[in-house]
Parts: sequence; C-alpha cells; structure tokens
Amino acid sequence: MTLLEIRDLKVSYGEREVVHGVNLSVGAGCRTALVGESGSGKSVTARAVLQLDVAASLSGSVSLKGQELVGAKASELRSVRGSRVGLVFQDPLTSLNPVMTIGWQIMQPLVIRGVKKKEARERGIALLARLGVKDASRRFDDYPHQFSGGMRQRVVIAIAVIAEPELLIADEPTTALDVRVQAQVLDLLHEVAVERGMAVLLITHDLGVVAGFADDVVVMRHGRIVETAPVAQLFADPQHPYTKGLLGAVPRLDRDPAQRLVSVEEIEAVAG
Amino acid sequence: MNVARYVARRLLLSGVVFFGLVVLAFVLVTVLPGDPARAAAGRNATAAQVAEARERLGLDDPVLVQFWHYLTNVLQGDLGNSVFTHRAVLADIADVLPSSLELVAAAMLINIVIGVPLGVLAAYRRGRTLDVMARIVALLGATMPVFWLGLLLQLVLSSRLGLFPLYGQLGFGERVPDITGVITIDALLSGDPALFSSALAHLILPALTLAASFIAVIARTVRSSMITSLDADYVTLARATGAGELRVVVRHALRNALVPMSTILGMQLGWMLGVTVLVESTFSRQGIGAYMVDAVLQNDLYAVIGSILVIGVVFIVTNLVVDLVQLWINPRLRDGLAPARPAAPEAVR
Ligand SMILES: Nc1ncnc2c1ncn2[C@@H]1O[C@H](COP(=O)(O)OP(=O)(O)OP(=O)(O)O)[C@@H](O)[C@H]1O
Ligand SMILES: [Mg+2]
Repeated sequence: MTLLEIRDLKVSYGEREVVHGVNLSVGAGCRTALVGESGSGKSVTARAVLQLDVAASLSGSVSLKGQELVGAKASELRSVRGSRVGLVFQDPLTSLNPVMTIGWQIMQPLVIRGVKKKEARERGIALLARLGVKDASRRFDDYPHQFSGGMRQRVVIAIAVIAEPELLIADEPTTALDVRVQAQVLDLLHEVAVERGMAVLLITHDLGVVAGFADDVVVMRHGRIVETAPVAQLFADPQHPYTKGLLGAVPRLDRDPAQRLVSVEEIEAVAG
Repeated sequence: MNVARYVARRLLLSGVVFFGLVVLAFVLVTVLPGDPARAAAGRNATAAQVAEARERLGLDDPVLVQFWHYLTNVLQGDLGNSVFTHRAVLADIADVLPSSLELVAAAMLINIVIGVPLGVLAAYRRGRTLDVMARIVALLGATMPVFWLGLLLQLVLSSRLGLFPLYGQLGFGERVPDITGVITIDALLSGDPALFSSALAHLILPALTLAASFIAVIARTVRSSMITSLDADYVTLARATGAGELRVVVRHALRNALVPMSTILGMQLGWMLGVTVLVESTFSRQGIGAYMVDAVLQNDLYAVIGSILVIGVVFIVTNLVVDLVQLWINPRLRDGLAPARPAAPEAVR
C-alpha cells in the first residue's frame, strides 16, 4: 500500500524553479532512498512534504494515504507534522535547542499532544535507551552540548519518532558523523523502522549506504527523477547513464583495486 | 568547578571596576578646582580655620595616603558631606534614591513590555509592514531628545488633554507614610486606593519618557537574535513535530534570545539611572538625577561625586546580577563552553 505519493511536484523559490515535476512514492513500512548529487533538489523535495519552508511555492500533489497536503490548511498540516511524518536533519549540532535539556525536547512532541509529563518522561527515557544512549534516565536532563555528535543524532531521532509517525524523512542523517558512527546510527534507524513498521525516506548522496538500508532507490538529478528501482535491480542493472556513473563512483570491495573510481566530470560527460 | 570559577571571576571583575570607579572619583575630588578645606571650613572661615580644616582632612598628606583615606572612607559609606544640605552625602542620596529606582523600574517595565514584543513581532514578520512600522516607531523614540519628548508629552497629554498630572509625584496636599521611600509602594501600603492611583498616574509620563530611547535598542536586539533562532534548524524541527506557532516562537526561539536580551537589559538598567538626570528635572521628581543637577549647580563637589559613585555601584551590581542570570539561562556557560560576556581585562590582552 502506498503511504506517500508525490505526483508532478514542482517547487520554486521566487522565479526560480528548482524541482521540475517529481514523481515518487513510498510504500507503508518501506524504506526508500533518494539519492543524487549536491544541489539536485533532494532536500527541497523532502521539505515540500511537510511544507516547512514558507519561501517555497509548490504545485502538483503530495498525498499521505490519500490526504492531499499541497494547499492544505495550516491546522491540517500541523496534525500531520510529527504525528504522521517525522523529520531528521543532517546536522545534529544545529538540530537541538542549545538552552533546553534533551529530555524537554524529546518530551515536547508528546506534551503538545496532551500526554502527562510523567508518562512522557517515561516514554522518552525508554526510547532514548532503545536508541542506544547509555544511562538514559540520568542523561535525560543533560543539555545538547554534553553529548557527542552521534549521541545527539540519536536524540534527534528520538524527537522525530516519539509521536510514532508512519513515515520518517531523514535528510542525510549521518553525513555530519564520522564513518564508524554513521553505520551505527543507520543500523539503529533501520532496526527502529522495522520494529515500528515505520516507512523511511532516506536522503543521501552516498550510494554506499543505500544497499544495506533501502528497499527502493530513487535517483534524482537537476530537479528531476531519472530512475526508480528496487535496490538490488538498481545495483545489478542500472538503466540511466547517470545512475551508472554514480555507481561507478562508489568504492567497492569486490572491485579490482587497480581500477580507478569514476570522477564527477566523467559522470557528467556520460549523462550529458 | 566551572560555576564557582565563573562566579569568582565575575566578582573579581566587579571589584576591579569598583576600584577604578573610586580612583576616578578621587582624581575628580583632587583635581577639580575649588579648595575642599575652604569648603569644609565654611565661606567665612579665617585663614587659621582653613588651615585647621586642611590638617583635619589630611590634605597635606602624600597623594597615596590621601587615596587610602578616601578609599577606606568610601568603603565605610562616607562619601563626604554636602556643603549645601550639611548632611552626609550618602544620607542625602539614601533619601532620593528610592524615588529614582521607582522611576527606573517603571521605565524598565515599559521598556520590556513594549520593546520585547515589538522585537519578536518584527522578527516574525521581518520585511513586512509590521517590521517596517516597528522600526520607524523605535527610531522615533530613539532619536527624540529625552527632555524634548518629556516636554512634548507634558504639553499634549497633561496640559491639553488633562490625562496625566503635569509634574510632581503626588497631587497637591497628598502625603504618603514614609515606609520604603518608594512613593507608589508607600501609597499602596497606606491602603488608600485613590492615593495609589494618584502616585501611579504621576509615575507614568516620566517613566514613558525615560523608556522611549531604550525601547528601540532592546527591540533591535530582540529582533536580531529572534531572527537567528527562528531560522535555526531546531526551530524548523520543532515545527516538524507539530508544535504550534506560539509555542515555537516563545518556548523555542525566544528562550534562546533571552541570553543576549538579558545582557542588554542589564546594561540599560544602569544607563537609565544615569538618564534620570534629564527626566527628574523635567517632571519635578525627587531622585538622584535631580539631586545631581542641584549639586552641580551649587558647586557641591562631594554630592556630585557621591552621586556618580552610587550610580556606578548600581551599574556594577546590575551587571553582576545579569552575569548570574546568564549562568542560569545559558547552560553552556555552566560548563565553560560559551564565551562569557567579554570581560575588560581579557579584551585588552
Ligand atoms: N531556501 C532556498 N531558497 C532558494 N533556493 C534554494 C533554497 N533551498 C534550496 N535552494 C536551491 O534548490 C536547489 C536544490 O537544493 P537542495 O538543497 O534540495 O539540494 P540537495 O539535493 O539537498 O543537495 P545536498 O546534497 O547538497 O543537500 C539548489 O540549487 C539550491 O540552491
Ligand atoms: Mg540537502
């Protein structure tokens, strides 16, 4: 069953159109990766779902289980935000409010939905522990600066999923972390998504992380979708020259080390 | 521990500033024309009496010894005597200071109640009509000379429209029991509502006049720090969890803006006390500003310098309080991560 359905989405900032008619769907409980080079419009597309960017004007359709979000009333959007769609950004440093405890921030989505403080706290601590933060109940009242980058991103994920959304949009959630921590956080995200039956739209420019994580891959370039395929098929038999180029740029263990990686310029030349 | 070190450093800094203030006051006492011995001995004193006063005041001692005496006197609350009232300067100031503090408190209240929401709204609707209008209003308040604004308000609101009393702190024939020295509070304590509303009515115009030039500054500060927080990822993420706009603005964004805001408000409190000079005379209010003006006009050296010292001390104390408030509202400071407000000695280095 389709959870998120984006049809012919166009996004412009003032006169400049940056996303030119994107089609994309995410099935309920599925993990979809949206890949593409920097500036291809991945973030703009993702932000269009919750319409958090007032400067962006949208056309086309974004529907969540049949509920149309483009042109929806503010109150309707609010009821979707957090409850049905959660959001994680790239930089855990700027994603947390520096003057509030992480506990306060994790509890907020519940508190604004009328959950009692005590219950919100218990649920927050349990979630934080599940996300691998040691000593969660003691650290609950700490401030963001007292956490490392990887731990902060776990906190951000906790904030995004505590109200149990059906879909989590994660915009390069691990790019700012060091490689070892990247893998940990992605694995965790995968586990939690599976446990909760939560769909994930993972945005990344790193095809390397896609293989183990996603069911489907959507490749985006210059504001357009160039290829959509199940992950195995995409890796085995990429159709679009740009995708082939991208795959050529992924370092792989099974490749002859003497063979050089493909450069961005070469990808550009092939894809035209 | 970081907190203890922070507090110790702030205390030390306050001490240094206070010492500097006393040095300045001492230099003024010694350098300014006028013979303190003659002043102390009285206008019609004989040469012998003046010499005796010189001796008694230690004016022939080496400068450092004189300074030591001055410093110990100041620390004991002895700021010298007023040649005009013939009382200890500190006692004079203690009589008039509550009235100034009342004025400053009321002005600060107006400053916060108008300036902070103005800054928040301007940031929230930046570039729109409301932002532009707020800027114009703030600019008008900031550029109008205080005494001129005071006269204008008196003319329009009091003389023409009769909305407020013209000047003074109470109506003709009204008296309050002297309990705290703050007229509005004393009026409240007296239990007479008419008296209280009269005291309040007398306070509003001067407080508004005093606040006018400060509102622009706090509004601009709040606006710029609110813009920073409203654009921050954590605010977008708060919205993404379904938080309403009021909560986003107040709990998430404004809470962050409190840090720069409290710094500016603290400084403004000190400046306001200095500016009471301009307001108290216009509105015939008692207060340290009016006291200082009289002292200057009467060449009452110790009274002038005593007033400066007291205003300086209030400035130092409010700054110290702000530093402690910062500790409370800025968690990064507690762990020594955030830059504290630049301290003078460090900035010089
Ligand atoms: N707020 C904005 N105002 C104007 N233009 C914008 C805005 N946000 C993004 N753009 C433009 O939209 C285009 C797509 O940007 P987007 O952030 O979606 O790229 P991306 O695929 O997420 O890249 P990256 O991998 O670097 O995050 C870029 O050309 C960018 O300049
Ligand atoms: Mg992006």
